[in-house]
Amino acid sequence: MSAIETPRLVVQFGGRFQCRIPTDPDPTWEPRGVSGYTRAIGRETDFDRVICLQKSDIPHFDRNYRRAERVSPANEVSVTVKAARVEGATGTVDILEGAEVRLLRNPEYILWNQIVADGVERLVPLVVPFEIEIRKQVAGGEIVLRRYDPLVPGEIGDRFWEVGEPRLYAQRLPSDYVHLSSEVMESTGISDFEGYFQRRKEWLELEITRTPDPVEREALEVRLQAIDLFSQSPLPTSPGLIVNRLGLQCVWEHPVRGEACIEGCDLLGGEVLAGGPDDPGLYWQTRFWHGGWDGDLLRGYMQGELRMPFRP
Amino acid sequence: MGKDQGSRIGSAEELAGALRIAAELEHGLCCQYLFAAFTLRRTLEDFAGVPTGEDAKRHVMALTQAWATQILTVARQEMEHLAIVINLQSALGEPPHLARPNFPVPLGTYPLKAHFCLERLEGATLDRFLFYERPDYLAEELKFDDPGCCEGKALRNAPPLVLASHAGLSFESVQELYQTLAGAYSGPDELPAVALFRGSAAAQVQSGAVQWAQSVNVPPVTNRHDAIAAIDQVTFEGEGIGETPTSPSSHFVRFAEVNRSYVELRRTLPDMDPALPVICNPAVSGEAPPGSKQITDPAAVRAMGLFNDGYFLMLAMLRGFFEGYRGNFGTYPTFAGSAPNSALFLEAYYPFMTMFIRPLGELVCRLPAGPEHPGKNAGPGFELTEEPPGLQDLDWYEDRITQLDRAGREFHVWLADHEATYGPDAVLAAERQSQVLHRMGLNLPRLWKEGVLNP
Repeated sequence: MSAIETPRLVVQFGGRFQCRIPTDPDPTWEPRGVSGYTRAIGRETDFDRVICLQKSDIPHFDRNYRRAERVSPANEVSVTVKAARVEGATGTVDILEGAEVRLLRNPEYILWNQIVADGVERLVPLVVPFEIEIRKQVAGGEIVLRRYDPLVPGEIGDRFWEVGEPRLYAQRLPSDYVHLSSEVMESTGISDFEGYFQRRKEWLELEITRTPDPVEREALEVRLQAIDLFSQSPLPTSPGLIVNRLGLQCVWEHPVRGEACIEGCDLLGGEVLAGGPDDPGLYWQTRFWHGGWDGDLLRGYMQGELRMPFRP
Repeated sequence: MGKDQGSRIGSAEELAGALRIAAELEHGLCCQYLFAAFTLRRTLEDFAGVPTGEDAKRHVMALTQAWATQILTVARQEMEHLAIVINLQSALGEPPHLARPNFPVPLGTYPLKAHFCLERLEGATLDRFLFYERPDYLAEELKFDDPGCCEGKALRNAPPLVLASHAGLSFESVQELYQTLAGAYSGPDELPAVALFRGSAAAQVQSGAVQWAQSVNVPPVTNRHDAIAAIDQVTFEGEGIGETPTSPSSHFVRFAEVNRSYVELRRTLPDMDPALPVICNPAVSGEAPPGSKQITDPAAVRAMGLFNDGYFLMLAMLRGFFEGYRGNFGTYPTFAGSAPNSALFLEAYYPFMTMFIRPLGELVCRLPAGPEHPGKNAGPGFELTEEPPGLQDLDWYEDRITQLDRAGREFHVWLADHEATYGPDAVLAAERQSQVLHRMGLNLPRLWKEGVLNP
């Protein structure tokens, strides 16, 4: 079966994720943040670096989910399906709307301070491991669409530190990187970056006066100091680092080639197809971006789509 | 040349000697600051066995996190200052000077009235740091009588080392050294331009061209004005000279703030030691100087040896990078015209400094020093047994990083076999270090031959 002949189920998703991560020039495994603009604070656990697409998946949620002003759009963490359709066919696959999207196997951004990708000027991290899942409980059962992509098919797999030739995984590197993206601003609804963090600072100042717990108060003070410090611009022509990141967009676009798990096709009205790494016609394809990074809350926005061979 | 002669530099040869001292001071200060920062207790695990409540530990962690930020910022800027000194050397037609005496360095070795010691962070350490960065106008108000290194006041009466390469210069502070240097470039005692700028202008490394991150600012030096501006930048960032009151981001004010916070902690929570019990001036090399402490724990000995070998290779790569650098190679990809130079830059800076020196230095501070030093931890010795060489061919660097990769792997395997003694955190840290070294070894020849991948 060729790729041209096979219709595609196209699932579009979006929403906020959380990733508690140290930032350059801190080492990748810095536990709490020292030299970069992110910090683990108060009773939070050490940084885990895991990209969490659902609130319920955040380890030690009660400690690690930071609060913000009520009006902040970054309060919600949940990447869900916004729309689904079969390419080439009329109508939509409404049953998938609202399905939860996850990246499984505790994926991290892999850059290793420029060791893994030669991103001298640009952030070009890999997301490793990569296994995407769309899951929804519906009347009559559960729909699960899940597939893994090995970084380098074969023996190396995800052991990127054993790869001396980055071209072997070039397709998994970001395909685009935008410092100030209109698409991000439209998706997040945030275009006044300075105002966004000004409101956060005002909220933090208020919370500091309201909080009786000294450890929590100290943590809020660290957040406030970090916003102040990293809002300062190194150059008159560019905003500070923490502000700048609200407009960031990093795009990945690659096939998903490994083992798959497909359940509930009967509820979808057709069969989602998947083969092995040697069957390109049955690869899934994803394009997604991460961006709109709030370095105070350690949350960003994810938007994209997953395209799967589909037999109606 | 000397204080009695107004600290005047009278020739290009004397200027070369003064610049070698400046390079050693910046380099030596950087090592001392890094060492102190690595000793801070920064996670709950660092307080194991400390019988205090978790909230108090969390409070200390918030403080040490802020102190580490300040100290590492200063250390990074000392590397920037070292790069500025190297540009001055390069302008003079001199090679980069990346050698330095091993720790401890006795009082009198440099005209500066202080020892150079690797000490964990405590009150005396901060007093010494404040002295190093003190603006001269505070010399009377902030007197410093160096007690010698370590609790035992070791080396207080030790004879100074004789460093023939730069004998004869007199100065009482880092600020005075730089003022003396400035006198060679401008003023009544200035040297002729033909003597000051014998090197190629294309060899001037500038931060705008090589994409140094994190506000590292290294200006090129091609004329007297550039040289004076570069020297002024060093004393502005260090002692805060040029602003009244002293610049809040100066090294001196940063250390003063850490010291204020440290004193307050010890006053309010006297039983909470914010630093690990890291031994003073640890060493493993056979030629360690008097006053150093020989480490005997087998894991620490292996880790410190690995650290020293990597530190040496990093310095050799830095020297090769500066010696081989020729001109601004334009926009992205950086170094399009010089793959070997990009390879040395991309190995020495980000990976070695941030993914080797710091994490391995922090790991060593969490390993025991050995049965001869009960209750003490080891620490990174920054030991050099030979001078980092000038620019070499690829084989030289590849051989050494391959050896380092092998040593990293052997260290991990050995530590995994002794996990019951050293704990899973140390084994995990060693495994990650091994992976980093392996990938760095794979990257080097590709970067050298092909340059940066432009995805």
